[in-house]
Amino acid sequence: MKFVAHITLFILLGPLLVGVVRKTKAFLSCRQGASVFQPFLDLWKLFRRGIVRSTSASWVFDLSAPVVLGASLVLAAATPLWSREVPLPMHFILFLYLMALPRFFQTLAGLDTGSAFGGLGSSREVAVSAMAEPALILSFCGLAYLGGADTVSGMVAVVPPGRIPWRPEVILLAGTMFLLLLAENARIPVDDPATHLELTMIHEAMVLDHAGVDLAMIQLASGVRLVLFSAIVSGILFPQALSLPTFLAIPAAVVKVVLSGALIGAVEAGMARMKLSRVASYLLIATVLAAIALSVRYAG
Amino acid sequence: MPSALPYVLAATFLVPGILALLIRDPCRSRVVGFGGGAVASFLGLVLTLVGAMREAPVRIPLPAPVPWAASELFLDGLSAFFLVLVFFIGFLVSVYAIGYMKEFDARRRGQAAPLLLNLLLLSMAFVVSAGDMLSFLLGWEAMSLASYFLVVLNHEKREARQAGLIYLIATHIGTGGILLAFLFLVQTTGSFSFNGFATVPISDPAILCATFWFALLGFGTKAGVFPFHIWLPYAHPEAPSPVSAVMSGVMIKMGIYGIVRFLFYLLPSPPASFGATLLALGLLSGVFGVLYAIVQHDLKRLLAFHSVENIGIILIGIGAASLCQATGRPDAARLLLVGGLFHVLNHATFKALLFLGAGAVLQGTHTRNIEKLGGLMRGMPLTGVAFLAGSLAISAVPPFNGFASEFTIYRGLWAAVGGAGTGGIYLAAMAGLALIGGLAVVCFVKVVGTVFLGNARSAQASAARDPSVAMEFPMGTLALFCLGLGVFPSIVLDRLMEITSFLSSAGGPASVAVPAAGGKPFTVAIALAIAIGGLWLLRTFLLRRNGQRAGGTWGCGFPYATPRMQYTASSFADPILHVFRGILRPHTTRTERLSGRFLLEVEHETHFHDLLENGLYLPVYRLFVRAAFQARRLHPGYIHLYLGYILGAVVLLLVFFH
Repeated sequence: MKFVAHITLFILLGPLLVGVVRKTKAFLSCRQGASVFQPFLDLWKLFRRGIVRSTSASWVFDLSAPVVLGASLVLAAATPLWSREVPLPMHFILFLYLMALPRFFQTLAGLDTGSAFGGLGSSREVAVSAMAEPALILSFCGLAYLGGADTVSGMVAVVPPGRIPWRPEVILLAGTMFLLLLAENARIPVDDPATHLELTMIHEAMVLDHAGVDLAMIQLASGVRLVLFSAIVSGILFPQALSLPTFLAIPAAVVKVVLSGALIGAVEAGMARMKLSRVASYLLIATVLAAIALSVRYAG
Repeated sequence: MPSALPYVLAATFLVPGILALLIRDPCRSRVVGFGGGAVASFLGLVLTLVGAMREAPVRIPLPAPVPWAASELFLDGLSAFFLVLVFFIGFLVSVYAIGYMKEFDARRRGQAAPLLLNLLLLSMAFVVSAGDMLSFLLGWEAMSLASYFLVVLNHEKREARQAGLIYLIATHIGTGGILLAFLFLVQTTGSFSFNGFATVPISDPAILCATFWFALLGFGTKAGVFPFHIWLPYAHPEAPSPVSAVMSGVMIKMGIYGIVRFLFYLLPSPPASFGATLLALGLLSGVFGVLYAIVQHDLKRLLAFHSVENIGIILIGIGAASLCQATGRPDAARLLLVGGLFHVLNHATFKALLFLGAGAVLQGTHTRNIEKLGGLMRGMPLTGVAFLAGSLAISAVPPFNGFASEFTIYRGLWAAVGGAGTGGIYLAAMAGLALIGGLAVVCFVKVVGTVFLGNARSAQASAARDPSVAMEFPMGTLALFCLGLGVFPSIVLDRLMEITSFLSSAGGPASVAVPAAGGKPFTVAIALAIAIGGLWLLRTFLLRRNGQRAGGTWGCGFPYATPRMQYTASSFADPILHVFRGILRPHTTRTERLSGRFLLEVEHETHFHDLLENGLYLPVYRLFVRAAFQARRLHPGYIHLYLGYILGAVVLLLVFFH
């Protein structure tokens, strides 16, 4: 029962978060924007459409969408959203490496259609993720220190008693995780999800030949992953919310996700996409920040 | 264990090999020779699993080759583990070779291949079970020479001869290092047997250091550790594919065996600097190996660079284990050593699989250049699936076996961080390992994507078909093991925990190989299977309802897209190349052919030169050649001068020794 609620909440919050990001962005650029529930309607439409399958594609292409969404849901099952009790507690290294499974299949599917766009997106996607790995590992190490646990659910959710909650390393780690959230979820300044120029896209170029059900699953997976990262960042900053009783904790989780959506939207409205060759420096900054956060632990 | 068994095993390896030389019909010769090797390996595998592993340690005396030193086989848990590796991969590769080595039928020397391969397997088994220095070196030389002749099996090709020469020089420099390291031990302990070495510690730190560095030079060269790796990317591609699989999967692990044997058995309580050195070299090998791999277009050369990378990962485990042992963290040390050794087995499994897959691709398309391939998943579905499994494993994607061992190493590093003070080095190792893992994903998405997916880029690629059953069976078995060892890692981990029990702390078994909470690979695998399977069914159902039609890939509204317009492997690697251009140093040349004002042709070439090869090895090599030319003046061919030399030598001897 709890398991079903956990996964359902992730699936429902994903499109909502995307909607909130878009609405915030529209608001800040003085536009009306679509309703925050528009992504749900888009998904509903896509799920009822058939697909055009490229004649170049193999079974890897067919399998990619279920793998991407399935693995993202397994990851979601390990992420604390409203409670420290998650359906599938997972060691943080396993969690990070499991993120490679959907990426592997998604990028392969990009190459499978024989389109230059797919290859272009895949190539950039794997390069960005590879360079983000050290920062991810280091910041998760830092979190595991703070939480005193090896599992993702255990480590984001604990504030040691008798300590002030927002110590410098906590803020540093939350900042690092936010930088990584933007990089891993194809947001500005690393990627622009709203661009119409294929040459400047990463994620969207990769899924250009996906349609209908496949595209719906992939968009849903993107939403789930965005919620997952938001849950971790907000879990670092507001761990108390995870100890609330369920009837309060679930609304608190929704509020946290909506707030992080507003934050992402504000960043997107205020910034332009970086030149692709500067992404490496961006990720290096994240790595250095994580390293500083870890060194604070040694000094203290 | 009866003491005649080793002789029986040796005979079952060698007799079919010799018979293969005598049989006139090449097809029968292949079946007898490689088939005999497969039977012998299988026999060895069974004997090791039911005999040696249970009864370890086993001692079997051998007739002494020299009067002043006894020889024996000494099989402890570590030896038995490596024996399993040799026989397991040996069995599958021998079966594969029955089908693959057809291409050597027309050539007379091809008939020597079964004998050489069997000799290589037998000598490796001998190396890991040797209990004294002389038997070890004997096995080591036999192994080096057998593999040299296998590398130059394609001796008509200039590249193969060149690769063979580089390999021969490298391996002998290595043997020299090992010999010196052993001689230091003999000098200190006065014994030739490994058990004798272990009893007397080396007290002089200078000698201890020299022993370690010579052993590192020797075993590191064989293993392909970063500064000594340059022979690997030459020898692996030129050898026939089954031989590459054995060399990369098993033979380079003999170097790892040597390092572990020295560090944890023969040199009692080595200082922390040894472990730190190995850890640093492991990180360098890992990062450089995978970076060079990413920019390769030659499928087998790319895989060879990945061997350097994986040896790096193994060394991170072993080096950190030694460091932890020296700094008093036995539990972390044990976990790290277990992880390193587990990665030895896992790397053997997936790398052998990938080389065998590369062999099937090579046989089907006659090219190793991945830019000419594409779409092979259609013509070679079985090879494609097996290769994909191997790629997921080598990229450490859960729930495959590459992840299982890297996870153990990570957990060891994490346990070591938890201690006092010096955790920074382990954190750096974790970050390095993460970078290596991420880059491996880049490389294998590139390989699988350009070789097996999309459209064929050449006529050979579209005509390729799956190979014979003899070649499919080993690939399928290895692919199943890649998944199986990832889902049920405790089968191996428990054995390895027993083998490394000498590292456990006094308080008892505090560390466990499989984490109690949050890391059960089986649970995750089941969760993934349910999620992906359920969504697959949902997709199938929805597609049946909504409809699905075939159409061309979207080409921006332009028709007539050709396979040449697909993304190339070079373009795919470009973002990484751009970031790491300071290390990879691409050299680009562009030549234009003009006719009047019109551009007719542009040729664009990019080369990558190994930093060490040009910066270190070539200058040293040139120095040697120059010195040799100078020395040549000493023997111009006049007999009078030579008589003068003899006279001079006699006079000098008389002067110095009265």
